Amino acid sequence: MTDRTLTVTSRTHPSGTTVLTVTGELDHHTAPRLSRVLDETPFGPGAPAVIDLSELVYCDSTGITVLITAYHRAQARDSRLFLTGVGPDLMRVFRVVGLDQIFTFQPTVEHAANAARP
Amino acid sequence: MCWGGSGNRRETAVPVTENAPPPGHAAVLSRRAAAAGLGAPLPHPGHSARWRVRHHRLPGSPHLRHTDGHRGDRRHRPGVVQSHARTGRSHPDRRDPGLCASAILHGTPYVVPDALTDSRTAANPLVRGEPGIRFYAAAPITTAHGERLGTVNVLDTRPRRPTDDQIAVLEDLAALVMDELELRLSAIRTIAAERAQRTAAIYDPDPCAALTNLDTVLKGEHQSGASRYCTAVFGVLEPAPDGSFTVSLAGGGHPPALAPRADGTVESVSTTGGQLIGILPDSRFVQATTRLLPGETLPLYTDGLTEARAPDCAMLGENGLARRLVTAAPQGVGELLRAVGELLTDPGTGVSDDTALLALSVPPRRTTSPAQENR
Repeated sequence: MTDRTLTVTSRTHPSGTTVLTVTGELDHHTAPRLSRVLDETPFGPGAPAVIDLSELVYCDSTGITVLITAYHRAQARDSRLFLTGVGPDLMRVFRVVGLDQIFTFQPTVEHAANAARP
Repeated sequence: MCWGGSGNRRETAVPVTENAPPPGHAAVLSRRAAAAGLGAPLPHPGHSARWRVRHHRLPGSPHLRHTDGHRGDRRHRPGVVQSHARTGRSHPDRRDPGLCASAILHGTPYVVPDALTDSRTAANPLVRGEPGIRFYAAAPITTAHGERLGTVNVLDTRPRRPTDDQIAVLEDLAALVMDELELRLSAIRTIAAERAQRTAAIYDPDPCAALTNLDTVLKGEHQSGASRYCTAVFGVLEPAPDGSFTVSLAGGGHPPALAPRADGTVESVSTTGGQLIGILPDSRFVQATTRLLPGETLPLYTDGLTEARAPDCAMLGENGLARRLVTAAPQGVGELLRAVGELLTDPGTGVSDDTALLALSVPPRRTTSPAQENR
């Protein structure tokens, strides 16, 4: 079959934070999978979310669009959203396009879960 | 990319790149625009698709062709691959009653090994009558947002059972069709964005204001859950009596301009901090100013250049590009374009994404022409 692989898993951290783990290549073909999971993610004032990108090996402009959509949704519902495990190359792209100013980053899911505690 | 402006007092430069797709829309753009190459270099999905297509044979397909929508060119022939796409409201293909329409409902490949015995197709007039289709397989042409526009399908007049690899080839062909659609639509959008930019600049040549206007225009076009953006650098040139030019650049999500100087150094004219245009609630744009002396050149580029990865996996980056420029020590715009052009053509540098380059130069001596464009 094709080489386009992306898995997105959703779990609830003991702290109550929703953790989406994104593994593989986030691109034009696979981004809808993350979009679908985000659609089902219960963003809200008491429902923080983490998108863990530590296993992401590739991200293109469509992938970035989906991450921005997640940011918009979290903002609209007064929910806290964290990105974790962002590698140096993706962080470099975030800096070039100014997204480092809007996303909240944490090194790991545990750090994010702690930061999300009320 | 080109120049515009009013007379020779002010001129504006507008390289615009990278639109992202609107949701629920058929159109999207080159997936590698704004690509973040992470870890090891990965092949362009389109490239890998082409590779596979070249190395596989489809079941019983001596002919491989695209149909162009003309009725006369849509004759079903044994062993033919064709693509069906619909535009706007779906209208059933009169020559393909039900076959493509059924396939398009599936988000995954749709395979009918023997149409005569398959309940999904046994009653189809193309199966029961002429041309007597027995085998049918289709892969959906799907946008990034999951909308299925049509299918690429293969059919034959005898039953067939395709392998997984062959179905994968069909999927790759469908991805290629989508790629082509995206490229064309992205070109149209880029031109539209550039025109909006130029129009706005007539009323307010402040570079950051120009990007703010573009931001507003893009957001206005896609108010329903908009997710379309671009990056741009916008510049205003002001001539000085000594023949030099003051260059005021505003950047929105764009990599820094690099200015090779007469003394052999390379100055970064950075608008870092400027954000993507058209997608963020309160986009911030950053201005930088520099001076171009007679004989100096300012190259502007898109990130396809700096995100190139050499075989050792090192990304070129702005520093790598600056080092190249220092080493090349280009004298004049011609040498500069050659030096950067080598990066684009040398397979060892790993440039694989779309890349645009615009170099502005001030003539060495004052001439009748205040500035010239080279591309």
